[in-house]
Amino acid sequence: MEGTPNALSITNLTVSYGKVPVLRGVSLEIPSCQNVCIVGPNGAGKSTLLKAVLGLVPRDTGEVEIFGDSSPLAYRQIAYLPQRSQIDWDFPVTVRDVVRMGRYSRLGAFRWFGREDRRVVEEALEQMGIGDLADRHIRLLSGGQQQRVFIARALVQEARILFMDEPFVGVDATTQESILALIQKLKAEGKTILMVNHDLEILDHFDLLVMLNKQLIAFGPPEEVYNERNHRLTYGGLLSRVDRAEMELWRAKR
Amino acid sequence: MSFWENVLLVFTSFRLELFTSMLSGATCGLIGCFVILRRMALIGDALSHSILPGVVIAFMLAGTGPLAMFLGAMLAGFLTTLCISFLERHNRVKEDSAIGVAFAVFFAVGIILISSLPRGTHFDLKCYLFGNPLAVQPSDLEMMMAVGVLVCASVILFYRPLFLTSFDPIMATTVGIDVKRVHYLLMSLLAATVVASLLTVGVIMVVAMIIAPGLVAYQLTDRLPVMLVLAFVVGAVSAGLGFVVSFALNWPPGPTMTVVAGILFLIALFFSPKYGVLFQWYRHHRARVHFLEEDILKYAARHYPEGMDLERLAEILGVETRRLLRYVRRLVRRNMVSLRDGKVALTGAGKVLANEVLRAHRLWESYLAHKGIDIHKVHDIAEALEHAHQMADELDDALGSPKEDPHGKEIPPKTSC
Repeated sequence: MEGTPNALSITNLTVSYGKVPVLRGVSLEIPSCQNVCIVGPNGAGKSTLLKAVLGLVPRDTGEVEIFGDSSPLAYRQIAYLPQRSQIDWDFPVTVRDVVRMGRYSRLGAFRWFGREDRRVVEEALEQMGIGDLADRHIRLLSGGQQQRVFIARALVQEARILFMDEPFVGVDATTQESILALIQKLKAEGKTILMVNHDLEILDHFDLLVMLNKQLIAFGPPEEVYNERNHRLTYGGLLSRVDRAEMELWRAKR
Repeated sequence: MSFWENVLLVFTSFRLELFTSMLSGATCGLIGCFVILRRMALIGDALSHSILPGVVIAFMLAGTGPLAMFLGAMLAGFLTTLCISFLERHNRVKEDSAIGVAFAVFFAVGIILISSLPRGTHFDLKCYLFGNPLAVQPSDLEMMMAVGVLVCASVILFYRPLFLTSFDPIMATTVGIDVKRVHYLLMSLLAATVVASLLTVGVIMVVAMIIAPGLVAYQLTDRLPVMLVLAFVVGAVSAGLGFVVSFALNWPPGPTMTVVAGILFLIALFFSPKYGVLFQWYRHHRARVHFLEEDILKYAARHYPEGMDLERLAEILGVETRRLLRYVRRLVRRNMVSLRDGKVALTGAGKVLANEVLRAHRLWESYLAHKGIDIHKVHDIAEALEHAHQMADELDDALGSPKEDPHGKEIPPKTSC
């Protein structure tokens, strides 16, 4: 593997909201073309991990390299798929409008949509099987179709890494199946996917598993790291004493 | 003078005032779209009130020149925004409370400043509060034009950042857009629009002129560019119409414009083809009637060919006999059933449609059972789903053309007409 940089390399990442740390000293090396699942209980810092990598929340410490590049331009390699609840589904946009947004990162604020941009947009719409819905308002789609719109937008961004934040919240089992199949396909096309997820039953769809509970509990292939001990460390209350101690320290400082 | 003579007078002698009002309405409408979509209506209201001290101080220092007042107002608006975000960030005060307290206090400071103005100077508070387009000077029109052009140009030039930060601020950040900077750009444009519109509609009502045209447009379209253009036009129309009406009837102009905008909003709310309450209600009603008609056919089919007693049918469907008769007659007109001696009997065409519904019902039952739903529950769910009988063929394919439903009843083959 010498010479080919990892898709994502995180070193000693610490993030806090207010004064309470949400993530402590997380280090991860994620090779490219992998499906990575991030699991952990509520408040474990799963979404925070994604957001900290993207620079959306300030880091206390830590280095992030994307394909060996730590410059601000490196974020363009990442497409972030928002949680369903973060989207205003009444916003006046059609499916095509949303997918076209993916080109903005390349075009900036001023450059026109060229023929090539149009082609890429139509291609992504077709690839996601939503070509015939392109002129519909996003509210008028099923949950699975709505996910596909945002995946199409990520494709149009031509990002090599996809961050998916709980894509299965509020979608039915059939949709979940089809998204999982889609992810396999995207991986085969050379994408690296990091998915925050609640459901532990679909782990065999992933190459790597990140178990998180404010710190990194385990990282590796699911069949190796998903065991009773790690599960207890992630979801059990062992760390609650650390949390309580931190809370006490924080209150003392006020 | 008669009403129409007054209207004519507006177009002959008050064109400056009319045009300034319309431009103000259009600019308010345009910027208002983003205010609506970003849920900043309360901030807009606060901003319009809290600029008062800035305006008064500018008036003390430099008199009534529009540019000085403009700068004073912008400064006060900026200070308010800072106060609000400071309160939010460094205390447990929530945004709405922060806005509520900040704008009232700023406004109050402005009022006290006015009362302490030196004798002999006159600051027209009433004009400031309620607007007075009849007092418009050519310099005010120039100001309004400058702001109008600034807002239009900014919306066109920065369309993508404005759009993206409004819809998905997280993605906007990841593609390198400074969300905060865009927010401040919008706040500055909003402040400029408010200040320039003070003379036409006044502080109290300017927020309605900002929100209402955008809301009208929001009812009519699903696309942001269309919404922006519509809001611009509706804003201009509200202000123009309001000005003419107020002049002709001798009503106060600012409030009249606001009322016109409000009425346009009400009209859109009820009559918009897409989201209007009326059309939604109509579509709802039409669907209910459609389902009821299919239910009539379904039950009549069980008594084919002799027909089913109307009273009995009304009982089963839980509908008054008189109302049911109305729907049955409609079906008679469409040659689906015949009505003789109080009995509803299917015709050939009616039989085909009833068979469709029955087929769909049993296919849906099979599908639901196939998906693992309790066999005792599938009937009730299928009662609703059977009306989606256009999907029957798709179900048939997916299930491999089953012969029987989960209860062992025969699934009828598709009937060709």
